Amino acid sequence: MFMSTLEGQNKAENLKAQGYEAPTETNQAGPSMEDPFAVGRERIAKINLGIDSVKQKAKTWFTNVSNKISGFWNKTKSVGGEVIPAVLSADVLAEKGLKNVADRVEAFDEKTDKQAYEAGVSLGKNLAEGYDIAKEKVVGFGQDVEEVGSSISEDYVSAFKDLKEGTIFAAKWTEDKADKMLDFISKKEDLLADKLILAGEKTHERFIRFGNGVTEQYKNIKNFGEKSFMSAKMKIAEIKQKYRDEQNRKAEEKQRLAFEAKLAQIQAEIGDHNDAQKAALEAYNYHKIRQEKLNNLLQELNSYQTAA
Amino acid sequence: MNKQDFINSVTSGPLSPERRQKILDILNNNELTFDVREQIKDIIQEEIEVDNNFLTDEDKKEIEANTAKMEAELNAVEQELNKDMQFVENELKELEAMVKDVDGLVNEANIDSIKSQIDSKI
Repeated sequence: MFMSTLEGQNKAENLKAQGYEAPTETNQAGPSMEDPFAVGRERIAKINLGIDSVKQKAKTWFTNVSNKISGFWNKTKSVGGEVIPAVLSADVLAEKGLKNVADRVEAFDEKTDKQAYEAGVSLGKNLAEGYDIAKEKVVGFGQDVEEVGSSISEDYVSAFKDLKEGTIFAAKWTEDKADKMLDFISKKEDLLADKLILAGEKTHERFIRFGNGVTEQYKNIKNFGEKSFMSAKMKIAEIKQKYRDEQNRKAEEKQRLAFEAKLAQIQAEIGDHNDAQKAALEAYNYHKIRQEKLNNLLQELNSYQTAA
Repeated sequence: MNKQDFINSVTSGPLSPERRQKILDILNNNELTFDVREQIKDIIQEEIEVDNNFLTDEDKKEIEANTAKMEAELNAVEQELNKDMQFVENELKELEAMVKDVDGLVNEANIDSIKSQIDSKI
């Protein structure tokens, strides 16, 4: 229902006093055509790219180190074991072993140390066969070992389905982080101590103990990295949301006030119950309604929970 | 609201044909994870920001101030993340160095093992 002419004049004056003068036409009210949101969009795009780059770098680090740890496990499992092909888990190592036998066999006199010579040749053949098998094992590396696994880093970034859940997590993580860092230092000291013992006591058990410690530390670092990354993502999403809510709320309010100012102006100039006036207002109102609909779309998106 | 409801809203919503198609493509090819949702929000927001001609210079100053605040907050998060990831990288490097050192010991242990087997047979 439209206002009376007098009401319209009063309304127009009030709005003008508040700084909202009705524009003569939509899209001509702004003093400049520059996009005031461009800087914000650019910054958001930049941080989106930045965080993706951090993710890719971290994936590379974790994949490299997990491969090293897997390689370590592959070798360590055979220390002190009886199966020579399994012991020969690296080409260089196998070559060293073969050379060792060859050197020793050459040192025997075939006639005087016949038995030792034959035993050496036989062992050399076995080692050579073992070497070939070992090479195949190296090629198929990772399939039959207790793998820490580069594949773990593939799901490095899981995500919260809900911003609220994410921001609660981020706040908690910020609180816990310092303690986690102290844990790393303490566990690293344990690992260094184990490493020192290993230098003098190269037993299978010691290697397993060290391997377990390294694996645990790797998992903890990975967990720390994931949580820090997730926390940053949630904080970024929260900042974006807050920024946009504020901007959109203001913009919607401006649209509403501009519409009311236009309405008041028309009321003051033309009066009530005019079809042309209604049509002009509807056209003017288009942008206000559009903005409301887009905001509703954002709200719907927030309420739309993932089926999974 | 389910996926189809949202697709309907997007289809009938006041989006430009390009942005609408972009969102529909995303929805048709992905589960609605957090990242996907953020991606769609960015597109809707672009559409909202197209209508900015009603803003006055005063409004634009407010937007600039808000943007500066947002930038400062994002910078702080970025710095914190960089610091954390630097810590992660350093820890991983130390771990890698330890594994490398002990890997040498494993080689020695394996060589010792081979030697002792040779010695026992010859």
